Amino acid sequence: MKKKENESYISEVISKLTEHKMAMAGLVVIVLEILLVVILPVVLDLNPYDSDYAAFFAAPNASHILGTDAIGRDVFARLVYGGRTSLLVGFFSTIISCAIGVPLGLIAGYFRGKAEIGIMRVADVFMSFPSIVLILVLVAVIGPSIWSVTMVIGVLGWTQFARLIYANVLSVSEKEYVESAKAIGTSNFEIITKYILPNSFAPILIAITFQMASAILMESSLSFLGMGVQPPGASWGNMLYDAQSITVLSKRLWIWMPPGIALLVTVLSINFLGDGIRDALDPKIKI
Amino acid sequence: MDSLLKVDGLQVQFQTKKGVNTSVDGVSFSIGKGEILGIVGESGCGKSVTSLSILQLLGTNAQISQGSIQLEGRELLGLSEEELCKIRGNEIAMIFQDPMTALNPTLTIGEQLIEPLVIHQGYRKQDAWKEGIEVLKKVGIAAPEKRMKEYPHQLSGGMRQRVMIAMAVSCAPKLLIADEPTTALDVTIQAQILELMLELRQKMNTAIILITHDMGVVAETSDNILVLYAGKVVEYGSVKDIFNSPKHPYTKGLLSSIPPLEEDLEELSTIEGTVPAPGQMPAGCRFAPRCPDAAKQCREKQPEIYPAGGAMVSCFKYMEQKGGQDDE
Repeated sequence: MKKKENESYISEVISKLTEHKMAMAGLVVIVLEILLVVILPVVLDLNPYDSDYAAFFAAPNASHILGTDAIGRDVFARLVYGGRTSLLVGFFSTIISCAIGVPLGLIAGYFRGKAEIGIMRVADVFMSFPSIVLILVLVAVIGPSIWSVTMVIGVLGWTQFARLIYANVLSVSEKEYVESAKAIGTSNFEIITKYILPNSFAPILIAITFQMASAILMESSLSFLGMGVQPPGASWGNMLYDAQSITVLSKRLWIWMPPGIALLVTVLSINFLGDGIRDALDPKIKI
Repeated sequence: MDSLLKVDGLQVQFQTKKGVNTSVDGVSFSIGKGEILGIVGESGCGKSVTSLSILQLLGTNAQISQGSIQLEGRELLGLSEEELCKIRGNEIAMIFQDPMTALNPTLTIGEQLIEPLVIHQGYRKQDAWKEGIEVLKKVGIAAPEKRMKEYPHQLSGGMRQRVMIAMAVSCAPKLLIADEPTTALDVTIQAQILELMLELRQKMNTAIILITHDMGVVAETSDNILVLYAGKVVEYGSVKDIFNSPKHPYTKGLLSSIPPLEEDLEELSTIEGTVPAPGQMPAGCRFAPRCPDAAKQCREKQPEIYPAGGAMVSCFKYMEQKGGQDDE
C-alpha cells in the first residue's frame, strides 16, 4: 500500500541506477558471478581438492581448462570454489560490521555526550591500529579458518560504519522533523528507528558496497599470507599464494592469472555498483 | 482568571565557548483556557527559546537556570524525560515554523499523524488510522483517505502545515504552541491557517501561544500580547491596550513599522540598530542604545516591570505610576 505511493522516489532512483552504465555492468558481473559459483559446482563435476597425479603444473588443456596447480588440483574448480569463499566472507563480514557499527553510530550521534565520547574515541583507537597487523595477530590467536577470518574482518570493520552513521545522524538529528517528533512525545527508541535510521539509509547502503569490496580484498590478502582460508580449502587469496615463486609468476600464468583477474573484476564491479548507488540516491546529481 | 499555564521568572542560559549567555531572562506570563497569547519581538529576542523551554526541547547546551513553568498548577521543570513525553503532544502540542522540513520524508502522512494517537491515547493502529482521517477532515484537507497514504513531498506547503496542525491537535491538547506557523507560507494560505487555528480554538477550547513577528497576525488573533526584547519582557498586556496605547518605546517602534494601508510612504519606519548580541548586553535597559527617549538612568540601571494603564511595561517612564491596577 505505502510502497506504491512512494514509487516516485524509488522508481527515480532505480531509473537513475539503470542509466548508470558502469554500475549496471558491475551489477551484471556480480550477479553472474554469484550464479556461477552457486550453479557450476552443482551442474559440473568439479573437484577442487584432489590431485591429479598425472598432471602437476599442467598447462590448460582439455581435461583441465585452466590447467592444474603445484599438486595437480584443477585451477578452474578451485577458482569457482574460491569465488564462493570470497563472496561469502565479503558478505558475512560486512553484515557483522554493519550490525556492530550502525547501532553504535546511531547511539553516539543521537545521544551525544558520554556515549559519543566513549564510542567515537574507541573507534579512533581502532582506526589508529594498522588493521592488517591486528587481523593477522587475531587470526593467529583464534586459528585461521574461513569463519575466523569472517569474524575478525567483520568485527574490525565496524568503525567505518560507526563513523559514517555518526556523521549522518548529527545532521539528521538537527532536522525539524526530529524536533517535531520529540514535541509529540515520541520516545527516543522510536525516533531512532523511524526517523533517524530511514533517513540515514543511503550512506549505509553505499558503505555496505565499499566495505564488501574491501573485505574481499582483506580476505585475499590474509589467505595470500597463509593466515586466511587454509588449504585444501580454496580461496582466491591462497591460489595466489603459489605465485610467490618467481618461476610460477613468470612461466605459469594460468596459476595466478585467473584468481587475480577474478579478484580485480569482482572488487571493481562492487565499487562501480557502489558509485552508481551513491549517484542514484543523491537527488542533486543528474546522470 | 483561570490560569492554564503560568510561566514565572523564566531564565534560560546557553553554554558557549565564550561563556554563559543568558538568552531569556526573567520572562513571566500566564495564559488561561482557550486564550491566545501572542509573543512578538524581533529575530533573536528569545521568542522561540521561551516556547521551547515550555516543552523542554532545548538543546543539550541550553538549560533553564531559573523560574517555574506550571501547567494547571503542576510544575513542569524537573520532570523526568518519561513524564515529559507524556505531556508533549498530549497536553501541550507544538506547531513548527517550516512545514517543509517538519515532516519526516520517509513516513507517510498517515503513519506520522497517528503517532501521537498511538503513543498518548492508546489507540490501535486501525482505529488511529480512522481517527487520523477524521482529524485531517477537521483541518480542511480534501480527500483525506488518499492523503493519509501519501508522502510529505507530495503535498503543498499549505497542506503540510495543515497536517502539522492536525498532528498537533489530534490528542486535543490544552495548549498549542505555534512557532511562527505562517512565516513559511504565502499570504492567502497564511490567512487560511490562522482562521483554522481560531476555529479549532472555538471548537476545542485550546489555548494557543502564537509566536510571530507579524504584528498584524497578533492583532487579528490574540487576546494578550507579550513583547520580548533581547530576552526580556518589555511590555505585556491585552491586545486592545497595546495597540491603542503602546507604552514602551520598543512596542511603539514595532507598531509604527507596520506600513499603513491608506497612505503612501516614501520610506518605511524602522527601529534604528539591531538587537544586541548575547554576551554584549548593555548595562542598563537593553533597549536603551536604540531608544529615542533614552535618559541617563536608562543606560545605567535595568528597569523593572511597572504596571501602566492595564499593561505591564518595563520602562522607567512608567516607574512613577507604580500602584496602578495590576492585571496579573
